[in-house]
Amino acid sequence: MIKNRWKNIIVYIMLLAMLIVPLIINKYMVMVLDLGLLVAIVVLGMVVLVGFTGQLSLGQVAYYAIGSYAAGILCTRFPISPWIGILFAGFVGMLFGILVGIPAFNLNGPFLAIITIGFFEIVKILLINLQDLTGGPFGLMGIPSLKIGPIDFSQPLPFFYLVMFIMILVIVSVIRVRKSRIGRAMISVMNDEVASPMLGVNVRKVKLVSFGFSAFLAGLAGGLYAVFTGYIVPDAYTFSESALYLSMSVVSGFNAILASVVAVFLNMLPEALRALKEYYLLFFSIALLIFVMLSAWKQYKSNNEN
Amino acid sequence: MDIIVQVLFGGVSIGLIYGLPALGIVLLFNTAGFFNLAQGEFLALSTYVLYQVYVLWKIPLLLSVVITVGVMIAAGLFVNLVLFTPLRKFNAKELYILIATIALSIFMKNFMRLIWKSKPLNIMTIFPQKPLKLLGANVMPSVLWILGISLVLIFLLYILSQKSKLGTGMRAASEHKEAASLMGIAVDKVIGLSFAISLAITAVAGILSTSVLYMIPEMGDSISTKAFAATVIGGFGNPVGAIVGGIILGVIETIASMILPASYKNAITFLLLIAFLLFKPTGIFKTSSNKKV
Repeated sequence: MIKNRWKNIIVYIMLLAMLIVPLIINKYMVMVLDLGLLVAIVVLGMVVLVGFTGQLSLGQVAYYAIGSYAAGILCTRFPISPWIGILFAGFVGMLFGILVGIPAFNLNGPFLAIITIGFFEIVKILLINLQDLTGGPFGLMGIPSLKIGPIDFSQPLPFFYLVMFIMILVIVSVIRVRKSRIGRAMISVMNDEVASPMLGVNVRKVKLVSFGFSAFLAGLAGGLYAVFTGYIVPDAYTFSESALYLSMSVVSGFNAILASVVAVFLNMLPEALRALKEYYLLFFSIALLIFVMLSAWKQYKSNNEN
Repeated sequence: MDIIVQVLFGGVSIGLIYGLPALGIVLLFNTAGFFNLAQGEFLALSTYVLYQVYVLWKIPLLLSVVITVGVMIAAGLFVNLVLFTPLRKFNAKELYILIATIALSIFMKNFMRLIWKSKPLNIMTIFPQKPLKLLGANVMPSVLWILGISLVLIFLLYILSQKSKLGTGMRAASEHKEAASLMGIAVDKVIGLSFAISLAITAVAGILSTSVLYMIPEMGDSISTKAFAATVIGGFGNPVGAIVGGIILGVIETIASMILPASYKNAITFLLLIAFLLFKPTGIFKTSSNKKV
């Protein structure tokens, strides 16, 4: 218990520090931090999908892209408030997440991963080729920004507090999901898909919920990205983003708070080590390999001791 | 008529370039039990090694090919030794091994970008350039070379798997690892060798691909996904299926790119893949092994 309390105190201090940090760093770094928070929201979705339900997704950036374009198209074509736009982005993302969740009924592991890669590729091809809707390779411009009274959320600092607030809400909901009935059902699906129905777990429902939930978060983050930058292009969404989201969630050990910290930190890292930028992914992949190796070794050791 | 011949030759040859790495994936999956998501990157690496040796160092073609295949086999043995053997020893979860292959593919992609930069390269000159007249159609010699070499390779692999001791060991290890090791088969060695064979096949596909594809460090992504599509279409786990799946994919792609704008070519591949996974997950050739609970 005492250990737990200390852990909580450390988390609160870290959160407090996070709230002050943007006041002391320059504007560009605040923007990088903002983008890191958006990544964190996507990674939190991955924590639920991969960490709880055990469904592998390598196409998460597709929902992010869909969210961006949903918000972008809605707000540039119609005089609709961008606040509704970002919610719309989340729900459109969720819709597609559920759609991709259907093949997951009887596919798993690598096959599901390939479906998600395929889905991403199709989305990307459509984004580039449906020029009337998406603006093609040139993207969408002039997406209106979020505003409350005099506060303009396309400025990095106000946007930081907005996204921070949303991220904390998401963290809390992920932790609550884990403790709820559906969260326990997710864990049971991950551990044994065949035995779960015998415990009264509706496997299909659980899978759809986790795909929908994670895709909602990715879509929401994508929508926020669109209204923040005001300009989106298909090239911003790449397969390596998806691989990074997955890696971040794995490195965090599927812990919600840690996952968001890892996401923000890893997003800042290439900026901080500007000189290494070109080699960043090289080092990151080596670190990931070492991490995978170490955690497999740790598991092996603890299994052998018992 | 001549257009049909042309489409068939073109489609089958590009299909073999998907089918050979697909065969490599299947071989590795059957013996080692994991999915190598970095197979496309290994193909890309082999094209760059050939470029380095043949174009930059100006070593004769045949020797360059031998060196390329040798380097890829060495790379395979090395990766297996430092990465996959320990992971298997630790009984790592399937998810972790999959992530290791993803990390490996990110690493290789960035490694290639670092050394050979992102500018597209090509060595289209390894085969003669003058089109041949065949059944009234113009066929590039490279297409015939791809067909011929692939067929010889597939035949050799078939002999190896059916007639040699190693092939028997590989098939035994894919049936049941523990039982195989009790029968005196060195499973670790067999897995290492199948890794080497899998990469040798991929290297040959890579060398052949230089005559029809441009090299960029990211070319592995599309090769990987197409090779997977080939394995699924052909029936996962079936070596013959992988080749047939690749050929089907190549022909459909070639036809599709004549009817639709070229940019939709990849979408067709993935739609086909998803359709197969949804409606016929066993593929065209079913594998005989039972599904484990």
